[in-house]
Amino acid sequence: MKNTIAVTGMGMITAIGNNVAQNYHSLLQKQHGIKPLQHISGKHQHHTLVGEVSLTNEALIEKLRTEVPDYCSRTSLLAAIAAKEAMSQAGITAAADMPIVLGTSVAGMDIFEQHFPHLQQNDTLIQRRDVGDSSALLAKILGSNGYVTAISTACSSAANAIGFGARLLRSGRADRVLVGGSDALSKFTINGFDSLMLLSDQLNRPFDSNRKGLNLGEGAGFLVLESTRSLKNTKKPILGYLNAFSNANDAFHQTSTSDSGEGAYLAMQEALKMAELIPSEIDYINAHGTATENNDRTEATAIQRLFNDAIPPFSSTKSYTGHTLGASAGIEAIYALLAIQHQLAFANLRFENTMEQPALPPLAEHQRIDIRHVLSNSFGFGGNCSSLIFSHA
Amino acid sequence: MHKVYINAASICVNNLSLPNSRENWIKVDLPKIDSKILSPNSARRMSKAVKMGIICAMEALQQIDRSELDGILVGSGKGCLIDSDRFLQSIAVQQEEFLSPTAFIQSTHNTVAGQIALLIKNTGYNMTYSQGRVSFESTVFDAYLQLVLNERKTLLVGAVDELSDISIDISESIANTTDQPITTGIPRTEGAGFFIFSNQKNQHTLGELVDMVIYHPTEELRPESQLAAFLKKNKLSAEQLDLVIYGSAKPETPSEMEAEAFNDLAKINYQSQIGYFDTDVVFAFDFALKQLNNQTFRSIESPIGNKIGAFQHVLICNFGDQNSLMLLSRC
Repeated sequence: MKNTIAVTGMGMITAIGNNVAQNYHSLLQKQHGIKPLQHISGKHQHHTLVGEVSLTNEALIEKLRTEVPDYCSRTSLLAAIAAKEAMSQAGITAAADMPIVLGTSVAGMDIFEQHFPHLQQNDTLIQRRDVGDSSALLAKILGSNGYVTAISTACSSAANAIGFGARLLRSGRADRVLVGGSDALSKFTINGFDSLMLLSDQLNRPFDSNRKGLNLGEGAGFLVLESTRSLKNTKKPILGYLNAFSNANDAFHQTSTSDSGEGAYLAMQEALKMAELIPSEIDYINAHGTATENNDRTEATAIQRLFNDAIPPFSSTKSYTGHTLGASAGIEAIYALLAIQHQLAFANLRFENTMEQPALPPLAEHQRIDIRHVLSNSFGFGGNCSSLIFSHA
Repeated sequence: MHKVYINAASICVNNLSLPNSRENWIKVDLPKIDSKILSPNSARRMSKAVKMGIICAMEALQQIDRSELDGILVGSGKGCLIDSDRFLQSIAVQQEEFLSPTAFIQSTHNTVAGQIALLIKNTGYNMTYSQGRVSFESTVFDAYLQLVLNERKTLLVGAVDELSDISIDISESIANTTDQPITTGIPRTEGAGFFIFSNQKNQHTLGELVDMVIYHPTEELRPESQLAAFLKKNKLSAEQLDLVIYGSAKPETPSEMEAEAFNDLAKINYQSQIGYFDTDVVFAFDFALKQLNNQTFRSIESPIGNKIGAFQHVLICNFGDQNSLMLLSRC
C-alpha cells in the first residue's frame, strides 16, 4: 500500500501545547509538561506528577466556540479541539459524512467518577462513561452525520483507530476519515496505575537503567487521512503517507509483556512487511517507551531482535507529555510526521544510563538526520501491540 | 473482492419464554466451564463478561483448526462493567488508599479479547470496539472489510455485555427518584455471541454476510431510503427479503420514523425474546443464520407464518443513534 493513504491534517493538544505548532516548539526546546496534578481533587492532587493539559474544561469549551452538550467529558472536549485543528489544516469546513474513529481507554470516566455513585438522578451521567458516548459527543460537537465508531484497546487505541480509518479508505467505503485518540486524566486511571505500582514519583526516564515508572498524561491527537485516489485532481498539500498499520497480540499476560517482546516484534515486523520496507529503511523509531521496567526492556528487546546490529535512532516522547494512554498513538503519530517534516529525531529527555539487557541507548539529544520513514509503536494492556509507519510526502 | 462467510456460531443469552421474565433486570445463567478449557481457579477470578466471551468463543472455535485463526475481534457497549464499578467503588470507599489493582487490570474494554488470545495463545489481530448499540456491528464491519480485502482469512468475531449490581442499583435509584420506569416490557439483560468469519467457504458454512452498512438516520436519510439504496447496491428487490429482524435502542417507545419503517416487509423484533443489552443484536445474527439453515430455533410470532424455513435472504436492522443493516444470505 505504498503512498496510497495521505495525511492532510493534524491536530493535537497535550501538556506541552494546545496545538501542533506549540507542541513542536516545546519538543524543539526540550520542554516537558510534567508537573504535580492540578485539576483532579483527592489524594493525588498537588502531589502526583502528570502531563496535564493546562486548560480547564471551561477554557476548552470557550476555545471550541460551539455549543457543547451538558456534562461533556474532558475526553470529548480534548478530542474536539484536536479534531478541529486537523480538519482546518486539511481544509475541511464541515465534517458532513466523513467517518470518525476515536481511540480512547477511559472515555468519559472523568465526568462520571466525579458524581459516582450519587449521579444526581441524572441519566446523562450514566451514559458519559461509555466509550461510544465520547465518540458520539465528538461527532455532535463537529456536526458530523457520518459513521462514528470507537476503539478501546488500552494504550494502543489511537493506533488502531488510525489503522481502521486506513482500512475504510482502502476498501473504498470512504475518501477521507478523521481518526485519532483522546484520553483525559481521571482518578480512575491515576489510582489504577498507582495500585499497580507503575507510577514514578520522579520525572519519567524512558529506556534509562534507573527508570522508576511512568507519569500519566492527557491529551488528544487527530489526523485527517485521505486516499490519494481522491486527491488526484486537487492541489491539497500532503503532509506524509501512512504506509503501514499493524496489530498483533503478545498473548502472554493481561498487564505485562513477554521477555522476548513477541507481540511488539510481530507488530513491527508486520508493519515493515505492509510498508514494503526492510529494517534498514526505518530512519527513526518513536518508541512506546513508557518508562516502566517491563515495557522498555521488552520493547528494546523486540527492536534488537528485528533490527539486529543496525538499530535506528529511537526515543520516547512520553518524556515530554507523560503517557497519554488511548491518545498516545495519535499524539505520537503527529510527532512522527513532525520528525519527517523537520528532518529531526527528537531527544529522549533525562536519559543518562544505558539499560543492561538489552544495552540499547535511546537518542539523548535531538538529531538532524535524513528521515524518510518513521516507525511509531504503541502497546497496551491485554497484550495489544500496534505499529504505524509514516513516510515522507 | 472476496466473499464473507460465517462458519460457526455460539451465543449465550436469556430465553424470556421461561417464567420470571417480567423483571427489570435478568442475568444470564452460565453453563459450567469445562475445566480442560479453564481451570476453576482462573474462572473464579474472571468477570462474567470474560467468562461469557470465553464460553462462546471456545464453542465457536471448535469448528475450526485454531492454527488458522488470524485474529480476534470483540465488541462491547459497556465493556467490563463489573470490574470497572468495583474499582470505582473501592476508590470512593477507601478514599484512594490501599487499592487492589485486580479490578483495575480487568476493567479495560479489551480484557475479553485479550483473555481469549491468552487462553488460546493467539498472537494475531486483536481488536475491541465500543460504540453503544452498534458495538457488534462496528466489530463485524472491521472483520468484513478485512476479509473482503483479503487482509486476513479467518477471524473470531463476537460481542459481550454484562450486568453489574452496582450499576443496577444506581439506575434503580435514579428511576425511583425521577419516577421514570426502567423498562415497560423489555427487561435489561446480558449476553454474548461469537462467530467464525472467513473468506473461505467450508462444509459447516452457515451463511454469507453479503453486505452491511452503519449510518446516522436523518430526515433526508430515513430507513426506507437507506434500505432502497442498500438493496439496489446488492441488486435485490424488497420482495426478495424473506425476513427483517430488527431491534431498537428504545424498543418500548420507537420513534415514528422507526415504527413505520419497513411496514410492507415481514419483520419481527428480536428483543422480546432475549431482552435488551447494548450488543443484543448478536442474537439476531445467530437467529438469522438459523433461519437460513431451516432450523426453527424457537417459535416467534411472525406475520409471515408459513414462510418459516428455506429462507434465502434475511436482513438484520438495528435502530438507534446510528442504524445498521446487515444482509445475510443462504449459501
